[in-house]
Amino acid sequence: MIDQRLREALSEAAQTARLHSIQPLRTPSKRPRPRVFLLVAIPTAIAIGVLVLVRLTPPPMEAATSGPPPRLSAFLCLKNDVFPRCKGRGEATIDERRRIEQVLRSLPQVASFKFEDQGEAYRNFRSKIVASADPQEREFLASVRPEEVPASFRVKVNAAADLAAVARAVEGLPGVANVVSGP
Amino acid sequence: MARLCHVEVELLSHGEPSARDRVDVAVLFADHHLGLVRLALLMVGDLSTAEDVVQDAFARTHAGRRRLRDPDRALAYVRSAVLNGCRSVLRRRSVAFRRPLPYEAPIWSAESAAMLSEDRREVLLALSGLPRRQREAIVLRYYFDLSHQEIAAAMGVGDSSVRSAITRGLAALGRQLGEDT
Repeated sequence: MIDQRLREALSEAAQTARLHSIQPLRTPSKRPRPRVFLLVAIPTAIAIGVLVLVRLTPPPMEAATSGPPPRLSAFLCLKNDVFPRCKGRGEATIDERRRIEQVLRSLPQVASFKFEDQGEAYRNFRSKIVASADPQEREFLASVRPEEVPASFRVKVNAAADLAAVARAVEGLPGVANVVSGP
Repeated sequence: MARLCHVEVELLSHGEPSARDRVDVAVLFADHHLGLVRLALLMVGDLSTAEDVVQDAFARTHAGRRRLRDPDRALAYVRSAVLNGCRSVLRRRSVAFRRPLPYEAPIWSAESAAMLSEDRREVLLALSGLPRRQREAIVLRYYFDLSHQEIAAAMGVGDSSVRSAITRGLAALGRQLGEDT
């Protein structure tokens, strides 16, 4: 009798902690790196323009069929990334990637998702964006190196109304640079 | 370092456990994150403190994350890391005037945002008043459904202590909650 009451009370109390309401674990940071910021800053500054351009320009849509599922992309931090969430930390780690996957899997609004690694991202970038840019821009875009194109999660969401909720859930996770809706 | 490597080679040459069987504590924490937070929540009473306890336990064990070799004991290891964290929070709280207060009202108080029913709160409050060992054993038994051996491993005590802690804890709860078992 008492054990039944106990079980119920404990499980109800435990249920108040949900997977996507708890803070993800942070990997302890390594010893502070020596300040070589300036060396990094200049190439980074050049990369900024390119990166922002690349990230904010969604890759071209596939032929607009009737009501394609709404999508969003969560880009991961690069080494020396310029996005505020990535400042002072390195590339997104495998553990952070796993954690993001775990969260995506737990969200009921997510229909499906796919991880696009840097290699794949770079190939898509070359074939979709660089190829369709006008000649002047093309030269600039072609100077982007594979390691400057971020890996991402490409997420299909059940309904357009769910986009904001999914974006909010993913945005704050460590390792995520930014979230953009659109494919 | 050289010595460590040497030991490792020696262990490997004995055949087991192989390098593949080694357990990564970081992965284990990630896989059991929710469960560990819940365990801490039931021990310390509020979610923010619980999250901190798990994060701290993770940070502390992170350095040795690739050195845990026995997969059978890995889960017990992280559970006891979390239990240890809860113990120190509770110990610090119990020292008058120097206590880190909970961030939020504990789930068993009427002010808690968790909105549990009166009866649930009564049970949890009584539980929170039990001696530490009884409380831990009861949570591991009645929420996580662990066996006596698993509880003993997580708490770092013997089997029989677990049994008696549970029996006494249940009896005390029964008395407080006015049941005649």
